[in-house]
Amino acid sequence: MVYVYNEKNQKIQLVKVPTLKGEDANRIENAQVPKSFLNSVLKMKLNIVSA
Amino acid sequence: MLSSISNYSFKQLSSQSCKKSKNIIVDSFSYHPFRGTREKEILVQTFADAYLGNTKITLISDNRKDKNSKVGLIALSNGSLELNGKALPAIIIDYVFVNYDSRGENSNEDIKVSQMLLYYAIQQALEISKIVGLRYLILRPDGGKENEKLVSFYESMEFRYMTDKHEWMYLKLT
Repeated sequence: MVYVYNEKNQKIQLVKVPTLKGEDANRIENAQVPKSFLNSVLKMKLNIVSA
Repeated sequence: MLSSISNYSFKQLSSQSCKKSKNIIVDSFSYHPFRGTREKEILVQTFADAYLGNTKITLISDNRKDKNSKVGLIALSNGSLELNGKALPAIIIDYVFVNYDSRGENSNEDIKVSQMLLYYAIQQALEISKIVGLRYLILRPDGGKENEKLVSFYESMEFRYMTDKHEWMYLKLT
């Protein structure tokens, strides 16, 4: 549920995730996973408290 | 004083507390002098969505300040990214909000609140990906490509633009 601000009618509006085909879609599907970055984030100790 | 992640805590809000505490939380934040109205409008809508169960809000608080020192929040929802006709599972970062006084340019901290919120989202997404199929974390930077500072921040967190013509960015998880 992502909203953007429409400057013309000065209202927020919902935006949809794009649907991709062809080369653009292939590039995203075949993209490398940034493993070392993700591993470094996983190691971070975040203080998550229950609601 | 320099900050570290251990100075902050993350608290997930239930849908009921999103309804009950919406006004208190929204009014407790400070907003950008020019973009404040739209920031607040999106925040109010995000709380309405969270009450309905469409998004999940997590608050971040600075433990060094007083009890009500909420410095920002992140809203996450379940979605998909459609590539070549296949809907691949994704988590959508619906909104990242940082209290105006706690934003990078207004703060001497060595780690940004927005950075910690992103670390939280990535960590949670990786945990979810252990039990549920999940391929991407996706977002649309507020203000689009013109907001170069924000875009380069997301790029530093390994997010990449889906295409040259779209405003959406992705982080591949698996």
